[in-house]
Amino acid sequence: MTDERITELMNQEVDGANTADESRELSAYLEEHPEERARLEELRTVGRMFGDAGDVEPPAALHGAIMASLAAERAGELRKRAHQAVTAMSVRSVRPRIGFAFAAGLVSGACLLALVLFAIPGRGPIDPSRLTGTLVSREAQEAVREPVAIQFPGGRGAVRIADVEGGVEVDIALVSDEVVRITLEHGEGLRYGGVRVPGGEEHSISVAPRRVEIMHSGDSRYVVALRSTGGERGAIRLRVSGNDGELFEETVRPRRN
Amino acid sequence: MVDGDSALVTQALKGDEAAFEEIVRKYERTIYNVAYRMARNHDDALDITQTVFIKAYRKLASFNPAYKLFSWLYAIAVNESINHIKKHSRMVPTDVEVGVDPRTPADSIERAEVSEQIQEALMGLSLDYRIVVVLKYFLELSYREISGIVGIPEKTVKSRLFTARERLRVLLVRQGVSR
Repeated sequence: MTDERITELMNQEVDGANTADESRELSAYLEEHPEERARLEELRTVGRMFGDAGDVEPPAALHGAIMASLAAERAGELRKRAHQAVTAMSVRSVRPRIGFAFAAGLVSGACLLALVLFAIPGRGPIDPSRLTGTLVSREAQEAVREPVAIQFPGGRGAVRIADVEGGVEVDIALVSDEVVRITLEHGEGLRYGGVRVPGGEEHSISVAPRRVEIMHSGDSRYVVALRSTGGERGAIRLRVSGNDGELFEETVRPRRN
Repeated sequence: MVDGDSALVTQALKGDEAAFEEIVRKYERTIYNVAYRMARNHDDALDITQTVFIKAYRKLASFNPAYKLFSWLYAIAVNESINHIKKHSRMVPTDVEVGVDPRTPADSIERAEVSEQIQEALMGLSLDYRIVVVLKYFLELSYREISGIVGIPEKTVKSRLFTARERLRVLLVRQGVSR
């Protein structure tokens, strides 16, 4: 019997995949080569070890992070559809078959464009008086375990602020028409630990004591890690600002250690 | 398809967000574990898991219900893990350990150590071998299922698995982990 065949039979035996004939073939070989039984037993042990290793415990924020990504994905999809609708209207409106159709197309295109602009918050001009930001308390977040929606004229997204081992993780997914500044202000009990941009988009970030600022545009997600320094964590203030001033603001006080 | 998955997919395709969230709830832990075993990093595993579900959401309409949903999701997870590992991440290092369960009892420390040693041995394998080991041992899939997910012949699955197992045997015995 070749080494290759022995390896195949032993491994299939471990996986319970040998036929009756193959099991007999292996048994006969092991009768003649009892020293090979140790190898078979070690292969079985490897399998048992993997079984004993069990699952890795995912972070508590896993589900919320996935749902936040999906919320951003859906928001981006809506924006794309709205953009395509506007583009299609524009293209249709310039087909000059006859002068009347052209004029009528322009008028109806303009009307529909206006309708889209005012009916869809993400396409409308930024008007600070229309702020609709909502961010529930830390306790409420714990209860629902869901990301919380951020919505303001010209943008939308979701945020989740979660206590994690050693600090706080702020997961922000945002879609906006214009460049906006995301500002996180925190107490002395936390310090900046890093930011991940899962999509790999370019972004600008500045860090100062007790403050992290991210310049955002388009569709991105940021996971900011704030590490505990052992002191009072204090409140975390999240602000989103545009050219016309503040668009969204909320303060959250994470649970103490 | 696994009981219930078919209905969830149908509902999700009709725009029922709750149905897709149910799919996420059902498979997020397993996908995360596959990603972690492939990448050995909680941040990477988190990113990979999110990307898997985003891609599944985008491609759900192209999913063939004749196949099993979990096989389809695992195939996305495997490909995404490979892509993620090959591509240099733009992460800024942070040592916040988000994946450690603070409630881990003392009597499971030894198990955690064994798990870490196994992970260490896994990382000693090339990606091609690591994939089949993860799918076989952690997801307990058959040769045929692994063949379908990875997109290689069943014979190649066996060959890679047997070679990997032999290497793991040597590695783990050498480390004195085998009992």
